[in-house]
Amino acid sequence: MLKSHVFKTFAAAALIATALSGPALAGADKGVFRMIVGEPRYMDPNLATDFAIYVNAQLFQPLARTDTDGNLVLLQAKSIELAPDGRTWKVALNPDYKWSNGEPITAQDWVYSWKRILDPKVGSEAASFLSDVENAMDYNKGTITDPEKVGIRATGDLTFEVVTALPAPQFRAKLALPYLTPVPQKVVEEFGEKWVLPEHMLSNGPYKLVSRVNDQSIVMEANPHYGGKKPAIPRIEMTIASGDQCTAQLRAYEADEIDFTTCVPSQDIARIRKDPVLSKELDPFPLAATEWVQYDMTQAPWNDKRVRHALALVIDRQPIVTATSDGTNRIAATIIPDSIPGGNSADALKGTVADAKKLLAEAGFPDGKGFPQFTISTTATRERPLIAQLLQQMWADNLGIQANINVLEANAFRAWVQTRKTEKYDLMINGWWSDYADPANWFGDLITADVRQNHFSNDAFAEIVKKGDAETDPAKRAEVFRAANKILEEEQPMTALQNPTDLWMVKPDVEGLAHEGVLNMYHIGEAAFK
Amino acid sequence: MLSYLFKRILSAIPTLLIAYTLVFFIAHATPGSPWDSGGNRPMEPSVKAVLDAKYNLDKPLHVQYASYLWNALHGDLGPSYRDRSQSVNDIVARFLPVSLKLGAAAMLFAILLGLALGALAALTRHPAVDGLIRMLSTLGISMPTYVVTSILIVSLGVGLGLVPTFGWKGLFTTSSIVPVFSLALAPLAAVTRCFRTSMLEVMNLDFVRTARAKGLKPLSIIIHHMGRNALIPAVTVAGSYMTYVLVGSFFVESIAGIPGFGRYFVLAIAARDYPVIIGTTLIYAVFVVVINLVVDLLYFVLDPRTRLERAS
Repeated sequence: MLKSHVFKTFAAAALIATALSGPALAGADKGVFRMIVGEPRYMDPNLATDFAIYVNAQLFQPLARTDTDGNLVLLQAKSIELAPDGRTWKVALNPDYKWSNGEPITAQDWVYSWKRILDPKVGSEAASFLSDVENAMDYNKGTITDPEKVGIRATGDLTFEVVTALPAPQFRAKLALPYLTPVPQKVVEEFGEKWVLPEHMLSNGPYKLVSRVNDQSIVMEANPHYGGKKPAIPRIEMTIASGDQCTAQLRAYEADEIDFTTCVPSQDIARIRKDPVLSKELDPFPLAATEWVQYDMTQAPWNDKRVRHALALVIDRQPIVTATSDGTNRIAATIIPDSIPGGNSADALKGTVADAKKLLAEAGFPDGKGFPQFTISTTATRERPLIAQLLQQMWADNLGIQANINVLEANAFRAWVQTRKTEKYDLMINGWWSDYADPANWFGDLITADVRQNHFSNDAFAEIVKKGDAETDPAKRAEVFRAANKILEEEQPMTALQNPTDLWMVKPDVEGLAHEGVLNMYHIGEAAFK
Repeated sequence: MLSYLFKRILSAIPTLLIAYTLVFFIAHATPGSPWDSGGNRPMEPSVKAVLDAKYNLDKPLHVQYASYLWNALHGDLGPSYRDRSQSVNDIVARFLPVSLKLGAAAMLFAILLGLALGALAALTRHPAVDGLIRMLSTLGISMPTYVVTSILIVSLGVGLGLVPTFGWKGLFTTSSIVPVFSLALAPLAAVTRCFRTSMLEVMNLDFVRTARAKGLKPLSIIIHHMGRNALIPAVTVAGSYMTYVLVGSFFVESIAGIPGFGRYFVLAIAARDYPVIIGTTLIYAVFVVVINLVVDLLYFVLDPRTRLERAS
């Protein structure tokens, strides 16, 4: 009786041991690039503007890319020329590029796709990137209903032209955007929303979609008909994570289950930087992005420049950068990053805490007496509540003023910001990530269009920005926008805090995985295993 | 018995209706919209209007309430806003089985091991063994699932490389070890405690002494005589954990990367995907009602006294 018991226990233990001793995950098969991504809201490249673009960028390719000097590096286009009128962009496609089933990519596909982005029934978030195009926004808003009136036309099988309403030098940078990629017209018209299923989808980039299981996995394989340099890595396997992707990615990376991670959780940054092996695999990229605290310029006391200056001058940005990212983010004293033409950190406010106290006293609140209690609103993610707490502390310690913090869930915060168009607030912490490398994206899309409800309006600033928008010579443009930058920093409607840094980690046997563009895209088709 | 069943099912209808009403109004009252993407720039109001019209979000709330209910009763739980190529029915068909498999495995593990440990703790002559089991069960009840899952992944996955840190490859692979154990821990601890207590109570009852005096085999006494009577409270406890474990624990599924129902449910909340939120709540409510009914029916099987009460 006892012996059979012992035997059974031994057998069970042996079975468990063999089961567990097998490799936990298929060991790295050197033809497969493994990574973890969040579930893309759309696999349709014309629809999404969030992190789905990074996944779709492996499948779909735009006309060109911008290099660090702002010049276009041609990809799907053979040539892009701007006519002397400054408004007509003539595009000739490179016939070497084909859809993943071998069929040619026609100018009609491109025209169809760009008009589809503008189609109000499609509801694409990327529509505003085509705002410079003649009649584009009218068509998108429904003021005109005939898509033929929009300034995008095919002029041949492989040529098309885009006409902007006014000369728009920033359109050059927009041609390289990952949302302005073609979709196969015949397939989309036949299958509707189901065209993105692997059995239907055609792509023009280095990879094609082989399988997709919602919220589980995406598998891509090299596109045999890709017209550019054939990818060295034949297969990509992406596992889908939800919730905290950075933590899931780091754990899988450390267990050798994936080859690449696109972020590091902020509480692990210090440990990774100290680790002798992992610190060498860290690959940081300074983003053309800024996080700031902004004031409701229509409310007192925020409409008083002296108050804004006082609050700005006592902020010590080093603790903010250390607390949120172990110092990998960079201190920002000006809103427009230096890498954007027109931005210059020399324009930052200068002054000491003593100066700040004096300014606050001049504004009518000596030592903070009589200053109303106010609220700093922020989203719950991105360590912003931490930033709010640091600011609250600095302002209480140095100026004697009392702030409350209102933390909102991410989706609720976005809705709240929208309602600030008509509702008042005190302060909010927000940020902007460059969509394309041109001053129009910051001075125009962010500040003049007031998407963050800052309510900043200054006639001199508006004048200069209008002048800069019309200036086509890049050097002169930068000069004009620099003048606007000086006004912006003097007025301080927002106080810059930090420029975020993206932290990648790449396994040492992967080479050629480069950071591309202001969006920090990765192109697996250009990487290889050593 | 049948009339009891019928009455129970009938009384479930107002319960489900109340659950539907509550979740419908709470979901729609929550600030934020399904179309706010989280990209850099807010959506154009005209585009938002088009999407609202397409999904009937511009109609008055009571109209939406009635139309969704009507469709749901006909088996159509609506489209997903977050993923426009799927419907809620697709999502349920795809993700619920994973959670069910995981939950069933966890529950089975918890019940079998819980009964065994509970009996061991009650019957052992070594107070140290009893103390150890009680301590482990206290730990099991008090540790939150997200802590347990994270610790197991870091130690077994990253540290020892025994299990994958992420993902789901099937119930009979190493990827199920961490989620099954994390889900099973709380019910295991509860069943152990409960069964131990009820075994201790039953141990001193007359019929057990009679059985011992008759000279029946100890194992037979434990299982047939004591066990069956001590099972009733344990069944209640297991039943109360069953719905939680079967329909998916959000923490375990999110952290371990299991494509299951619980994870999907909370993703839908963050995305304000109303049909998914309401549809999954309805399914969860149905589960709770059914499982409570099954647990109550189990009493008939286990305790003949309830059968007699009903009959009379």
